[in-house]
Amino acid sequence: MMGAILQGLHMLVTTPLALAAVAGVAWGILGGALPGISPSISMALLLPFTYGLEPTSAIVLLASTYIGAEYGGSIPAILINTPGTNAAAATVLDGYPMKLQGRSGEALGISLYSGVVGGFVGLLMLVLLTRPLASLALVFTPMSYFALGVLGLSVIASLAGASILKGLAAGLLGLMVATVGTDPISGVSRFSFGQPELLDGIAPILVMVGLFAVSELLLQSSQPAWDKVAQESTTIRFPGAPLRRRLLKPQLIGSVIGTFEGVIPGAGGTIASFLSYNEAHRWSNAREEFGRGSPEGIAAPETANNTVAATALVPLLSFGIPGSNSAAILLGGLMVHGLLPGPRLFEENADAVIGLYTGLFVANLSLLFIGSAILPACLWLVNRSKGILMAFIYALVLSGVYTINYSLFDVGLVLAAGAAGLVMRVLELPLLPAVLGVVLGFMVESNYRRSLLLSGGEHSIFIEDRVSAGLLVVAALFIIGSVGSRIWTGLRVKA
Amino acid sequence: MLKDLIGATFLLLIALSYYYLATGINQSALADEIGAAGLPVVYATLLAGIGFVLGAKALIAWRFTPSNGKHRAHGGPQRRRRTLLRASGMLAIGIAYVVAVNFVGYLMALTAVIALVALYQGERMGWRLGGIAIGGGVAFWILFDRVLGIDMPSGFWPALYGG
Repeated sequence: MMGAILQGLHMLVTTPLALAAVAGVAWGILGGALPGISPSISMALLLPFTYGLEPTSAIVLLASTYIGAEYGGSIPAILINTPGTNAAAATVLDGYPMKLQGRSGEALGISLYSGVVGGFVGLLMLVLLTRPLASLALVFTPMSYFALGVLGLSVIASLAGASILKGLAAGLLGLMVATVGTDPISGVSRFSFGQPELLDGIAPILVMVGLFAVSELLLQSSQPAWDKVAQESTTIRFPGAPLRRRLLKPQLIGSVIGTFEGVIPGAGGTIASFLSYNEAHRWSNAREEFGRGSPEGIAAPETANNTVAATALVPLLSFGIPGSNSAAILLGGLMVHGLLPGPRLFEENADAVIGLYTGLFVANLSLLFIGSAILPACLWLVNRSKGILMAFIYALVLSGVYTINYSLFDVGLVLAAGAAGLVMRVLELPLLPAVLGVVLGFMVESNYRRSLLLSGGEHSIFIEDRVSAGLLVVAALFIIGSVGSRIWTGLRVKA
Repeated sequence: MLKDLIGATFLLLIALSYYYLATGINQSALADEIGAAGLPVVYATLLAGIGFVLGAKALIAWRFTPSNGKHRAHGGPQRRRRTLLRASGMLAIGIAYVVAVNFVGYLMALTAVIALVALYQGERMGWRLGGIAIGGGVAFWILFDRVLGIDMPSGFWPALYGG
């Protein structure tokens, strides 16, 4: 443990880790502060730029963006009654009433302070939980990897949104995209239409940037501009000692819920925020203040969503299962640098893991300072013309994607993925199951077929392998749990 | 419901096209029992099944809740059409960039993208917009081409100056 801490400190002075953490937090806050630009979009916009970076700094840059964006989302939530991110929607309930009472600086201070508390709790949980979980995967065979892929895909049951059928359809569309390119076993070309650029398949990074960032830009082109922020509300006021004591309970609630929701793939920050708000309300001594500007009503969701920003990395780093849009982008970043999540990551790239933890520590610490310092810049940005901002974001996407392979074909693919993402949004087909399909498709297909080659075509091999059988049972339980919870919720609504 | 019906049709069309392409995949002498087309055919079949069920559900809902269907037919589709039309314009600007950038060069193409997107989003044409677009284009060119050292498309300019 001590050795790891020393190594982390050494990396801080010998690599641009701290710079990446600070830059990521700043970029994330700016992105999160813009309504419509979610943490995953902020990360997706940055993804192409990580190619030229050394792997650890690249991953820290992306993960810090996630942390910054979770706080950034609360800025418009408090100041203009519009959450900058989905997870900040619960912050609106008490943040905006505080702003109307002339307490916007106090509300922003509570949000920032609670976000930092949540970030540190989440980081602690990430460090404690990831390694033991990942060590389970040391005994993995092709059958186990296939079952792990199925477990990852089973998350679709909880990510499907309103319709599980639409979630499955989106997942299948992703799996179909993953089949483009050279077949992993026989080497024949599939769905490449004679294009040499497609022989290596479609890189998940291109699909992610298209589905998340470009489709959002296309969608935003028909949305009205957001409100402007009044310039008087520019100073953050951190809570004093009595208020900090009062915030302890909602922060504890937010941390516990954020840990559980983050570790479970598919749950995510938005659910954690609302659950924490609800529980903080239930356990509060001043329930009547909720909805009218309660500091606890800001502290609980903000702690929860920043805890999730770290704990969502637990299933990602342990098993390679991205449980949220942002985790999927981070997985894209890991893959770009040849880092495969799971036990081998801890054995072969221990430096990267220690660097990531160190970077996240610096990111959370710097959030406290950058969050205050960057507020005027956020307000300036939110008050810019939406048309100009969109033009610059579009220019950034077109330029950034080209830098990945110096290929205009890639830019075209990203635009096509963006158009597909827009159609999916309009038809209410969820995006994340499609990304899961793209990311996990190759692992599922190649290991399924390798396993059958080993068994001479006998499917019983997936049950005979204990790890595979265990993972398939967990996947089945996950699906049954998600479907059961849907049915239960439906029955309660009807009653 | 209309949206679900359109969605179901869209899924069925994708499933059919993908199935058609999957059945045309060459078989290799190195192929395993499943083969290169094995899982793609399964995916296409599953997607077609989901599309069929979604379509049937939408049709049944349409048949038994006429008032809801009428309401959606007036409100939803028009909004969707407007969204798609606005988005098509943005997409067209991106495609035009991909087509033109090799000819006119990165700096000029990106300046045009910034100006066109801003105009499309309702900014007024004028010196201010021109300045922002040129300034933005130059800033991006400096960042990518000069600072990051990425060889962005230079277009016909080097030939013009004998480069």
